Amino acid sequence: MSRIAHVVINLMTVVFSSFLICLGWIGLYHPSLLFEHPIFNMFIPVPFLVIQLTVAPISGVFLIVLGILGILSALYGIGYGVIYCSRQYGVWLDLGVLAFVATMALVFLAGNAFTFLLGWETMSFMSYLLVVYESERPGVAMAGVIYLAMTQLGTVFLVLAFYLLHQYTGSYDFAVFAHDAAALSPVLQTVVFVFTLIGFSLKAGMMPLHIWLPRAHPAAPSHVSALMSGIMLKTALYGLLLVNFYWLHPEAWRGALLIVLGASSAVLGAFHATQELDVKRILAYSSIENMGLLFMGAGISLLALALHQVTLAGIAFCATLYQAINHAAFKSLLFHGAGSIIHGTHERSLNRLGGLVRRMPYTTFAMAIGLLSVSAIPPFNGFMSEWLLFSVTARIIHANLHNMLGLLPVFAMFSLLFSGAFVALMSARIFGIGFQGEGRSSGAKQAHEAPITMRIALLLGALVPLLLGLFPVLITQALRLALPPTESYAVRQIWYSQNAISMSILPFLLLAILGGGGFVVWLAVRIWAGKERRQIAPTWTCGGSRLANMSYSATGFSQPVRRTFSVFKIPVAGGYMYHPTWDVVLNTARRFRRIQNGSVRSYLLYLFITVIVLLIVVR
Amino acid sequence: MDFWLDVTVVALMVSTSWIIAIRYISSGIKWLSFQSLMLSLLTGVLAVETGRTDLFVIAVLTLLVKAIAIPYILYRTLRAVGVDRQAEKTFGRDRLIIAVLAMWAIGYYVTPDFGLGYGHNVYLSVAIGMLLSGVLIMITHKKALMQGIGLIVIENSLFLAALSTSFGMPFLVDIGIFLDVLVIVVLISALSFRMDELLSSMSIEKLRRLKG
Repeated sequence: MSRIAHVVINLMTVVFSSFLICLGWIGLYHPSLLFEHPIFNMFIPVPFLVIQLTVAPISGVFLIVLGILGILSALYGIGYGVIYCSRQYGVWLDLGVLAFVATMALVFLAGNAFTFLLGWETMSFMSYLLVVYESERPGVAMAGVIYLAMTQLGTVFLVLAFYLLHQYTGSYDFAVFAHDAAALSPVLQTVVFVFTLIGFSLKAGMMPLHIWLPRAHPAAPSHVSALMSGIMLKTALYGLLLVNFYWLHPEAWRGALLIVLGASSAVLGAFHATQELDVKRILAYSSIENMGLLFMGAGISLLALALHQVTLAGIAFCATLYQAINHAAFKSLLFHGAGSIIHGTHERSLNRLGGLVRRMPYTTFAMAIGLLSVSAIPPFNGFMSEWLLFSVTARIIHANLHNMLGLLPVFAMFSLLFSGAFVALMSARIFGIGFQGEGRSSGAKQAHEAPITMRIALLLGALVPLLLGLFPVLITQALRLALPPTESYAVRQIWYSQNAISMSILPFLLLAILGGGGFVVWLAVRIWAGKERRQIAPTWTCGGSRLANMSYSATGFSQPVRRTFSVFKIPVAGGYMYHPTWDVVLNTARRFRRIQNGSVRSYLLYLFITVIVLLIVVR
Repeated sequence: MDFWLDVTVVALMVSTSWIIAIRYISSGIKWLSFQSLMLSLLTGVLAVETGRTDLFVIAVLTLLVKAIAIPYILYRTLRAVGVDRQAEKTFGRDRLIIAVLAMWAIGYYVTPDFGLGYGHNVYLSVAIGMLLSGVLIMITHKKALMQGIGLIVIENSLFLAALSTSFGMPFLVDIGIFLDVLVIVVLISALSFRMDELLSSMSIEKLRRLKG
């Protein structure tokens, strides 16, 4: 019975997600008001409580992404959720995923502040419930508490920002904000910007507000992690773009701040991703890195817009959106792959995996595509968006050589380079240690391939990055619709070659070059060195018996990076500000404990002083 | 009649100041008895002045309970543990006297002038000064019996405050307070005796180890 309910609910999620795709598609071409209804108006006449659903091109983009991810995750959940069916409340996981998708859709569809905050809060709460679903595992409950605390803190700032906007525009409608907010006083706009930046950064897991993310993502079931990392983090980007490009007047320093914040978060997130052992934790840190890149892209676009370089701003905006879509595609694929690994081996640590390439071929294939995409190897999608971001950054630098602020994108370029190198290392590490070699634990040795629905979801998921990478011109053409009214570009301007046709064949060209080049190298080696001579003999182990643990481990693999960067004193597994803050709190508490010394006379003395002070004060 | 009121109030002030500075616990008990006697005299004078019979009863009760019964109980306890016990103080006499003077000053400073033309209510000022001095006794003295004495001083001060503002509390309340005070003193005596037996000292600093 529960099995049938499980499948039916997941299929409902698939249908609902398809509906969201249609809705997003409509919104992309015809922005429209879908639904407006005041609630509780008969009893309490509160003008604030109005549900308003609208679709705009920018929310349409995110809705389509949400729909695709929802379909993939629900398909994946049919196979993945079977192990939870035997649990009490097994079906609640599927219902939770459906509700989670619906609440995220509410965020993207929101047409006023109330609907947005309603969606935001229910989304946070649903994801919290899904994070603590396996609360019997150690650390999960704590991860949930930290997540909930951080996300609530973020909501506080968002509520304040919306309240301020309402105070000075007299409305809660986003349309009114878009019309009036740019004319508000600069100080007020700065306050709104800072508040929304804090709120959205907390959700996006920007360093140093990221501490919930590497805990919450591994704690959740894998298809939930895929949704959280793939699209829930993007709600923060959506909000950020909405506030900075549609409402507030663009300022150069805000773009600079976003660049610095995003770039440092990208590099540090990527660095941490090379150091962790838990597969899903690695991917969580990689999400931090990608959110950093997205914030950086938004900052570059904002900077260019403030410097009145409309075309470049538009291209950077497009690159940011493209990167967001790409990240959603490959990160959900990677999380699904990681879930499949956990499903098949019951192991999470890279040091206990190995040899999966032979035992889990489908998962290996999907993970390989995901890892190639995340490390921006053409023709997969990661390359296209990062290259676009890279080239537009170079053009902005070129256009602003006379301007100090315009040089900030150099920082962004360094960040792109470094994070790219780190991510390549991360991908090599996951694939090399996790999939090749020999199983390092009994779980990895007896790994079994995922069930059929999971395999379908994995293969479909692997198709998406490839398609996104092969047809960049179509994507950028569609994304042009989502540009804010102040920005514009022609599709042929977007590429460095100034030629859309040559651009659309570029991915295939690159594929041919990579494939053909490999073949040429192989041919040359074959001609010059002759046929490979192979001697198969047992590995020499100093006379001892051979163990899987003797091979190169994940810890050893990341050791050189750790050594190299230990010069910069990057705390690998600690907080930058949380530990010191916590120490201050504890020390203060310890100092206050001296008051509580057990002597009756001291307590009397406190009373005495209080009474005298009060008597004098109230006199 | 006002002359007698002033005399008794001055006597209250002197006795309170002196209790803080005593050297032996036994003299503290004697001064407490004297203080209560003065309070009962003051109540009697007020009773004559206003002609209220309940104040007479309370004056007699004060005399019996506070001036005779309580000092007697405290004195018996003290005899049981040794009469020549010194009152251990945290500060020297001179400083304590200065502190008490400060208490009187604070008492005078914080008392409201109701603006009814009677000027300052000096009796209330003395009551508040006594209250603060009573707490000061409890803070500065280490012996458990002296805590009891400080408590009675506080009680006396509250009694005086009630008298000075509204000619005493309702009769039943006063009776209840007398009973309470009596019970508290009995308890303090019993517990001090027990402390002396167990710890061979009445210093409440030894109770620190009870902290959780």
